[in-house]
Amino acid sequence: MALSNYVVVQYCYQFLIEQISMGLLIYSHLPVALTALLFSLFVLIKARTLPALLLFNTCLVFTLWCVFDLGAWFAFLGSYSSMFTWSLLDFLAVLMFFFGYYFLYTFSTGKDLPLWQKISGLALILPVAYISISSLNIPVYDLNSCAAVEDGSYTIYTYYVEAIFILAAFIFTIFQYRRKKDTTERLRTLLASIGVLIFFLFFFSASFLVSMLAASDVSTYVYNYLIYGLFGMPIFLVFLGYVVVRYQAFNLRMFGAQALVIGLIALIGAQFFFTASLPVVTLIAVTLFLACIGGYFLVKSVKKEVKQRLQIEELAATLDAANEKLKILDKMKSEFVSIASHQLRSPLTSIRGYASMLAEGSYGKLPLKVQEVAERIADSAKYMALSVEDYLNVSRIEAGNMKYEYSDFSLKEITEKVVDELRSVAMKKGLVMVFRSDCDAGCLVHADIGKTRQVLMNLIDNSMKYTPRGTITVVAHDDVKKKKMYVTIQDTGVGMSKETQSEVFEKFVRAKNANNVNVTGTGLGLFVAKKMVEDMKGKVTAESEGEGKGSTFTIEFPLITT
Amino acid sequence: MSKKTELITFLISIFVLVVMVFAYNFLHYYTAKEYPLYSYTSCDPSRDSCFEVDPESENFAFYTEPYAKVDIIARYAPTCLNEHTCTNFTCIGIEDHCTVTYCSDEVLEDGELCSTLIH
Repeated sequence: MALSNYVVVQYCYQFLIEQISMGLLIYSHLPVALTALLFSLFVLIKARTLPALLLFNTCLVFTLWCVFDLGAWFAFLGSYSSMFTWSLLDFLAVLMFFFGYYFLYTFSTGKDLPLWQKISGLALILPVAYISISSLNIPVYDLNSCAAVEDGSYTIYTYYVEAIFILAAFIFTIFQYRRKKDTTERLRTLLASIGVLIFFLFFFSASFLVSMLAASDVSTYVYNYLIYGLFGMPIFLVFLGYVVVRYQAFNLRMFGAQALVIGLIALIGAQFFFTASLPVVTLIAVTLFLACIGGYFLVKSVKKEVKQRLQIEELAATLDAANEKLKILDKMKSEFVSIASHQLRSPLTSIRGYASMLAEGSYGKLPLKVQEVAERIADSAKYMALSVEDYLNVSRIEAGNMKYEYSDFSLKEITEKVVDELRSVAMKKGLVMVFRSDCDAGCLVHADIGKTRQVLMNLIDNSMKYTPRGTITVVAHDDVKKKKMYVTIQDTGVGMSKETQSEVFEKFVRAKNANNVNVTGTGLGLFVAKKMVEDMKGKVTAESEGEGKGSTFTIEFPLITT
Repeated sequence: MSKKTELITFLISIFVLVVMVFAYNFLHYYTAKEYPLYSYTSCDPSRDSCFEVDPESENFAFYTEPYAKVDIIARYAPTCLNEHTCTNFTCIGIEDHCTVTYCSDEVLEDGELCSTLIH
């Protein structure tokens, strides 16, 4: 491999390759360090917050530790190189633990570390810095084993410091888990904490174990086990990556695609360390190039989709706000209509009453012409009162203030009474009103009698309005098997197109051919009828074979069977 | 002191500390090479009392031949010492920075034997 060109001490090179595979050594250090550094750099660039900065610091120190550890392994570059890098390993490790804890604190709390904790951390780090520069940790370099000789009594201090940070992180995790009430926040903090703790424990256990083994002389190649300590970092990154994707930590979006591409490129790039064969190197280079191109387009595409999704989210939020505003306006309108209608109803009742009394001669015999005028006033006032009642009902329905008094009654009887009441009006218009019933189970329903009566009045009145001549047939019948009670109102009127059928129960909607039969109306009767029936667990439908072919309205209620 | 100033001051302090430690160690190890080396060097049993690996010992043997122990400041160490190729290595001229230890009962460690002088 290319590194062999830089060998200064051949003896140490031979010694190293007898201990461990060079490829494994590099592969265990560099890709993970590079991935951690790129991950944290990406987060820092995107987020620019204190936790992001501290994550970057942790990963940067980890990367330095990996590079320096490799330097310590590469004794073939010269003892001075090995001693320089080795002398800083403990210091870097302690610094990394401190930044790791600092990151966890700021990430979980959203606050900076308290001053006393910073000073305590620094107080723990400073002795390690002193030990590093005083060479107390590695007093001598052994040319026989191409390794620095560690002084256990000083390096043990490093382990104490690391253990303190692990303990602090553990206690902090428990404290935060108990303190946080929000489940999402709790899980987010817990996952990040577990990641940090796994990273700490892997690193600490491997270093501690190796130092103990080296001191006890039980094995010669004890430093080989150090590489297992580095496995904690990718696990930490996986946990953090999940937190980023799942909980949008650091406010990162589209992180998944970018992380995937970077990871893929890092993995392919790492293959270079395992081969010196030109064809294989070429193949890896081509694969890497293609992965870069593919990754670029993938990230670009995801970026576009994320942008579109954000726009849609913004639009949806705007629509929600507009909808809320409209609801408020609609409620205000209903309240206004309700108040206005109440104000109108009282004078209308007086006008209607006095006009009727005048027409009936309660104030003395009136000339025929005046009597007719009084009758018209009474009719108009009656029509106006009915319109006002419709407006009031709509207001009540929309405000959710409509009150229902439920009881069991015979729908057949109510229908028959309504038909009888309206028969005279129908006859005046020259219409024939027919009523039939076919009930096997008593035609009992559970509903509000008054409202049901009003519904029947509205529907039959509607049929009469749109039927210039012919018959209106009202049939009350039940279906015991389906447990349903029906009232069908069939007319021979103007009928409806398919388009009108779909919107006939909407507010202020009148059939397009309504004017042909010279009908006046508010367009609220059917709307009120439908809403009332639905509130009483029933259903109203309208059918017509087309314009000029009459219409059929059906009311459906659950049947009460004894 | 505001929170931001406190944070910046703290991070700069750490950064300065790191730079100082790195710089000092770089100068100490890389430039000045002011650290002791420990090595074995070949030894002539006919002239000196040499160390030998005890064949009954389980210790790993770096040297199968008789050897002497050298402690030397890295700056003064010849290249042959790194490669374990020195013959008749002595500290003549650099006595203040170099010591060659031959075998005696006082310095004998576990897994080692003293060679018998051959006259």
